[in-house]
Order: sequence, then C-alpha cells, then structure tokens
Amino acid sequence: MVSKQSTEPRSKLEEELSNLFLLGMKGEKQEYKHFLNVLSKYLRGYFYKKMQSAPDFVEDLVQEVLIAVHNKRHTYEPQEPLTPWLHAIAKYKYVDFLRAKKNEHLNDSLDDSQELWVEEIPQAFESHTDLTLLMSDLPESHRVAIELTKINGLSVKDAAQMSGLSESAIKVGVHRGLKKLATLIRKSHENT
Amino acid sequence: MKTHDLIDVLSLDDTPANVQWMQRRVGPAVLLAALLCLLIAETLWSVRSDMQEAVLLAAFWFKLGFAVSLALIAAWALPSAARPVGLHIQRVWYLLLPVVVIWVRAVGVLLDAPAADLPTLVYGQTWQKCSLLIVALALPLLVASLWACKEAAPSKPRLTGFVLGVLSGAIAASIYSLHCVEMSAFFIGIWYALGILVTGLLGLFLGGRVLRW
Repeated sequence: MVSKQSTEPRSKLEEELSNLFLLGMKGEKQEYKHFLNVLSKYLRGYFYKKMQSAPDFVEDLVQEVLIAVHNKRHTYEPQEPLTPWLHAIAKYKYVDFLRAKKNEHLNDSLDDSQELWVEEIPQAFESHTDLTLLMSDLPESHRVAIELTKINGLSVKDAAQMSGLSESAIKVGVHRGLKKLATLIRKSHENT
Repeated sequence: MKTHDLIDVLSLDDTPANVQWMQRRVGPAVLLAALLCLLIAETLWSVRSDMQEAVLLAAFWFKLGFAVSLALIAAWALPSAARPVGLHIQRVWYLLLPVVVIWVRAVGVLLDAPAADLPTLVYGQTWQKCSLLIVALALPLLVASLWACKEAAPSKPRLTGFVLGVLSGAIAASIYSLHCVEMSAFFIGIWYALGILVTGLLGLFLGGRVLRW
C-alpha cells in the first residue's frame, strides 16, 4: 500500500527534476536554480531524518551534496533516470561523512530504497561548518569570484565590474573554486 | 554561507559540463599509455622472433585472447563502476570468464600430456619474471587511467580502482604476450593471471585513496 502511494509521486518528481536539470545543463540558469532548490529541500528532509543525533550537520551535508551534484554533473547519463543518480550521490556523501566522523551512533540505516524522496524541508538549518570559513583557504581570485556572485546572485558581468576582473576570470574562478571547495569540505570532516 | 546563496553561485557556473568524459578523457589517456607500454616492451625485448609460426598455433591465440578479453571486459565494466549509480556493476563478475576458459583449456591439455610434463607446463622457462614484468609494464597504464578518472564519481572507489588495475594489467599482458615465448595454458592461467590480479589489487588500494570524492 505504502509503496504504491510513494511510486506515483516519485515518477512525477523524476519527470519534474530531470526536465529542470536537463534545461539547466543547456544553460537555463533559472531552471537550474529551481532544480537545486527543490533538491535541497529533499536533501534536508533526508539528512534530518538520518542524523537526528547531530542536526547541526544537516545543512553541511545538504550544501556538500549540492556542490557534488554540480561538480559531477557530467557523470549523469541523460538516457538514465535522474533520481537514482541523485540518490546515489546523497548516499555516498552520507556514508563518506560517517566514515570521516567514525561515529557509529549517527548511523541509523543504510538504504537502497531511495529514501531521499520521502520528505521535504524547505527552511534551512544553521550549518555547523560555515562554507565562508572554508573559503578563506581558496586562492584569492577564486574566493573573490564566489563571494561576489553569491551576493543576491550578482551576474557575472556585474561581478566583473565590481572586482575589476574580467568576466572569464570570474567564470573560471567560480568553476575552479567550487571544485577546490569540494575538496576542502571533505578535509574539514576529517579535522572537526 | 547560506544554502540559498550557494545555489545562486552554483547556478552561475555555466561552464559546459564535460559530457562524454569517458570517451574524451579516459579513452585517449589509456590509449596513449598503451602505446607507451608497447614502445617500452619493444625497446626492451622486441617481438618474439618466431611470430610467423606462433600465429598458426591455437595456444598463441589462447594466450593473447585471455589478456585481450580481460581488458575488453574491464573496459566494458568501467563506465558503470566509475559513476555514482553503477547500474551494471555486476559486469565485474564477467572478468572471471576468461580465467575459467584458460583453466578449462589447461586441464584439456593436461589430459593429453604425460604427467611428467606438468612442471614444464606450469613453470615454463620464465615463470620467475613473468608476473613481475606484467605488473611493471602496467604501471604507466594504471597511473594514466587513475588520473583520467579523477573527475569520475564512483560510489565504490576501491572497486573502480580494481577494474582500472585489471584493465591496465590486461593491456600490459596483451603487449607482453607478443614478446613472451611461453605457450602453456597453465602458465597463462597462473603467471599471467597473477600479474593482472596484482595490478588489480594495486588499483584497488590506490583507488580507495585517489578516487574518493
């Protein structure tokens, strides 16, 4: 009964998310942003349920998975369903987080049943490790590019004008900065 | 940084996704490394002098076929292993197929041969160096393929490393087989297989470190 109820909306969700994601891959920024927003709500619900003993890490993991999905988007095969791919990334990051923390009591159950799509939580939690702190370890140009574009989603053009950097320098800075940031996040798990 | 702000930043990074990275990056890297290995092998040993007669023997093709088929199966399993979902991860099991075939062949040969020949069939003349040379020859391939897969996102990094190791070992063994005079299926089933397995385990070990993301 329960499974029947949950497969129907899931296929609708699959359709919605993969439409948005594929448009995003073609450069439609609004659709991509919408996709990341929807995904972040499900991620929050998923990690909140899994880590009730450490809720202050929920938002960290949400952010880490968003960055991972973005950085690894080339590993998605368009002819395959998107939701299992997203679920696999969320699960991998969760397992990796537990491994780094070596904290067994955080571990409730490891699922293969796509629990990710069960619950949405729209409002963000406080994050434990602030990304802004980690960003201080990025090279200056990468950090500036990310800092500027995050201000109300400042466009690349505006960010270039404000900083005196070229537009391509901003783009490269954001792109490479996000890759480096993913590494810094992983290291931070091992140190805190 | 708030998640909301992070999403703004992510949606602004519209650098085109590197689609077809398997074909564009992993493929060329492995091919180039294979070419390098061929050059090294050619410089060190040069192709066996009796090649013209060897190609007429079934044993030669069993040897080459063993190594080439392992490389092909590993290459076929790789795209699934190196991605987050790994829909066809069970393809890795097919790697056992060439091993079974070569061992069936070995037993078949043994039934026809006098028992006293067994040590010759197993040890040949070069058993002491065969596995080691295959592993050594595979190292450039392993390094290149691990590097090429850095952008991959395997949910099982060690398994992916193992597949890359077997791929490297099997390509190295294919190249080595052109330069090696051993023909016995026993020899292949033991010393070739051992060289490829060791490379696979090396890949497993390195993959667990290099391929995590």
